[in-house]
Amino acid sequence: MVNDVFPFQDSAKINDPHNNQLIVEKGQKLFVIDEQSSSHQATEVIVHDYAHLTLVYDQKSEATCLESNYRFELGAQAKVTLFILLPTSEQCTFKADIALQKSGAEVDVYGLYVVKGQQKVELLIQQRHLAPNTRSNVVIKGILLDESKTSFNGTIAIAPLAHNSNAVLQNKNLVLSQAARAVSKPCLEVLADAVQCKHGTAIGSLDEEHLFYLHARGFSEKNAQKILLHAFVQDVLAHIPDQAIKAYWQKRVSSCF
Amino acid sequence: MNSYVVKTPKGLNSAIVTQISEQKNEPGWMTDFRLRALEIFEKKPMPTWGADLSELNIHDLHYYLKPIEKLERSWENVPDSIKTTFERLGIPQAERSYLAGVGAQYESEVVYKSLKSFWAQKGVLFLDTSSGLREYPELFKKYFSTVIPPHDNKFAALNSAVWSGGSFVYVPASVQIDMPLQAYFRINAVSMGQFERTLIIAEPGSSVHYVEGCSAPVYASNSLHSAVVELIAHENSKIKYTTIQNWSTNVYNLVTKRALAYRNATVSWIDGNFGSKVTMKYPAVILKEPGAKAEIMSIAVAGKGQHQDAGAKVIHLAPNTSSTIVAKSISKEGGRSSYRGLLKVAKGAQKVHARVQCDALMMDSHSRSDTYPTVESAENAVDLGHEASVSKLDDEHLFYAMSRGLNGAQARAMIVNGFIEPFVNQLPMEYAVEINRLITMEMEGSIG
Amino acid sequence: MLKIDRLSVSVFDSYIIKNLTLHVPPQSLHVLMGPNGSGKSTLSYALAGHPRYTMQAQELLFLDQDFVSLSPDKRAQRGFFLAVQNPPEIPGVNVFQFLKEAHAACTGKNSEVKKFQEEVESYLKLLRLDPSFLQRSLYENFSGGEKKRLELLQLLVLKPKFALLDEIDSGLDIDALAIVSCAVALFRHENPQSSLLVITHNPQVARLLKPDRVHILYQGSLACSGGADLIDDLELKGYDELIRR
Repeated sequence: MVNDVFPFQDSAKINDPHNNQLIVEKGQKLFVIDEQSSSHQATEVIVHDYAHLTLVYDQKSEATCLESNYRFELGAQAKVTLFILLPTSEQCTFKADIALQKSGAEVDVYGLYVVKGQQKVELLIQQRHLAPNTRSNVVIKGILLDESKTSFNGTIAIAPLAHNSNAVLQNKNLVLSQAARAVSKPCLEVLADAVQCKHGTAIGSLDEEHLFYLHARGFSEKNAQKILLHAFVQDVLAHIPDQAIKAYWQKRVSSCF
Repeated sequence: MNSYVVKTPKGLNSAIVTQISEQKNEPGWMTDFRLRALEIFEKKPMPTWGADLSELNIHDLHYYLKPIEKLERSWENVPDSIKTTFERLGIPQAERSYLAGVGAQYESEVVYKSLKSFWAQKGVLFLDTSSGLREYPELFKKYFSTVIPPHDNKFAALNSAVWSGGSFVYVPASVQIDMPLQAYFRINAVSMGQFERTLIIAEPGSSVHYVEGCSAPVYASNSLHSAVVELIAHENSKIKYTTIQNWSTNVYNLVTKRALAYRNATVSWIDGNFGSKVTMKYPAVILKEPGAKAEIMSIAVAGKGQHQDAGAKVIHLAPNTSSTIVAKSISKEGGRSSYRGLLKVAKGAQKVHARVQCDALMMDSHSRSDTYPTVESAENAVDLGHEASVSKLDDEHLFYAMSRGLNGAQARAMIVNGFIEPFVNQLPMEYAVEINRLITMEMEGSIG
Repeated sequence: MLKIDRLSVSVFDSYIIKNLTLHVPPQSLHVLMGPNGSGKSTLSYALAGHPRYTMQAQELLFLDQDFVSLSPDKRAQRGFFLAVQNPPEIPGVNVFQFLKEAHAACTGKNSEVKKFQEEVESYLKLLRLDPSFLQRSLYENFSGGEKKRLELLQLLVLKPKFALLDEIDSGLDIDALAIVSCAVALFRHENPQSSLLVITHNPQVARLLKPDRVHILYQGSLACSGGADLIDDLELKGYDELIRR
């Protein structure tokens, strides 16, 4: 029924048994890879002032159902770069609540989900600007095949004191089969005025004009599709610092066709 | 001024609903319909999403008032600010008293009569809803409540139980009505409006533009306005429905508006929300057959103490359908403006093209702007895009306008009018002029 | 007309213009040149009253009246005009409406629409712009040439007492440059008492305008001033050598 579609956004809750904590000390630089071994995981990440964290969540577990809850708290001038690469499991839920608590904090999130078969992915991200001069940039790309289903919920929330904040949220979905289904709900809640906030979402298939152009330059159908798929995920994969992980995901994208 | 009154006691029950139906001499089926709707209304809970309705006490209201009862004020008691607004907006003298909730009959009978005969020649029906039911019962029954059934939501159920007033419009096949239908109904619709029920049917190949409302603030004694508007656009027809709402700031304005668009039909909702304490309104179009098109353009201005929770819904049920939604909002002086929207593509709806664009302007740090869209697709050969942005007035733009001699308020007014230009462009001329003036006044009042 | 005595302009405590002294008398056209980063645009924005810049001066007079405390609109109403290098795109603001409002604000006169339209259209011809230009949104999707021409159109319509043209020639081809020089000539002809300060990189353009005086700005200060022959000197030697001298 059309009226079911307006629930308020839930905030990410951590209420499960496996609690991890990751602390990045003041001024420290850290690079972490999380492959998630258990089926449920909750991680609290505290990034102190002037610290830098690069975290790659590269799901490897074979469990049927996976859930991961991340909570980030960023201090002054702290910087976090988060990669979310999904899924391996049949059903997976990934939540990230990111609180930019002090001035100068910045976060960049690059996410990619490539879903096949009967896989289901639910991705929830909250970018909460609680202090002035903070920046967030979230780019999430999805490729849907077969009978997969994805649901993306993103929220940019700007508190009244968070002047001069800059927040961007993007979710783009390429649906490559007729039976796949994508839902996207990007939200904005702004209570401060001197801000720049943008969000965008798109659901579609490969652009026919682009396909035609490549065919006209001699590329086979399969190659043309591969080229366009790679172009589509370029702005996520290009930033991955670990070459092995990057190569793995490029291969995974190639194998879509 | 006449002072006889028909007014039901406060609160709502089946006796009151039956009394309303009897007052209007309605056929049995309508009375039963109202009573069934009342049951549904009583069973349904208040919505848990959207604006805050906690201060709305639905049992503390009168649910039926004959129009003339509303004329309780005298001109002396009309606040000066309202009188000044009428002047600034250029509202014709004849309309001012009526809009202010003061007596005086609007001398529109003459205009209305000549329009009526013009339409009658073409087979166009344009009456108030009760007359439509009485004079064209079969046609009425065929379409009434087919787009919005009582169980759709709590306030649609309420309207279904106590509806009164509104328009019934029927346009025969291939008849194109060039001028917007407003005139007489501009005043009429504005003064009643409590539980209006409007039904517009456009037969194949026809077109009609219906305009309601007024840019000037409208005094309303009753604090709940819950209207239902149903549009049926048959094959190759065009329906454009424009609303300008500027209810006084005691009003809860909860409206359900939906259209069905058949093969190659186009439905456009042009929705301007300037007033009320709370507005919840999401004009919707269901694209039922191939080639159907939806265009929804909405603006919301939320000032002090106001919450405009508005948006749009488009549901693509058929292939080769397209839609565009453009929603612009302005929040100032602590006001809150929210966009709530749905863009949905059902199974089987291939080759759909849809775009949603939401732009919000925050005028100060006390105000609030939200965007809650949902984009959902069960098909792959589609092209759906949604974009939203929130920002404040660009300092560079302000500086540039001021460097050309405009003072702060003039510069703000120019830029804000530019911001809402795509909406104003869709309005009949006199409304466009009024809206621009309204914005200019609002900018002068706001803290820059 | 414009009397600047020891002007310093800063942004967030960083000084960009230092102790600049410059007089532009009535009826004259001065040219200001200087390498990139010398502070030319900063000077123009500061004189127009842009809030980003802080000005301190021994004396800053426009038409013998103090200027520093005035907001940008008041400066414009007094007759000061700045043609900006990169005008902003303001969607939904109609060009003609904008011109009419600016004209009313700057001149204090509310002229009749038809008459105003005729005047504007006569200038369009000179600037080789189509009348449909007037119905577009301010600077939205304008080419570089169109942007400059609209700034010039405003110069001709608003008839200021003093006009500061910031790189009105940048990005234009030869034909467009001829239009610029015609427009400036027409402005001077129609407003003989007015003065201009033209900022340019281009020695050919500087020469075309036949300036009464030429100034070179270097690292925020006036390095030297002279007659029109300074342009030839500059072309021969380049900035570095000229300033070393």
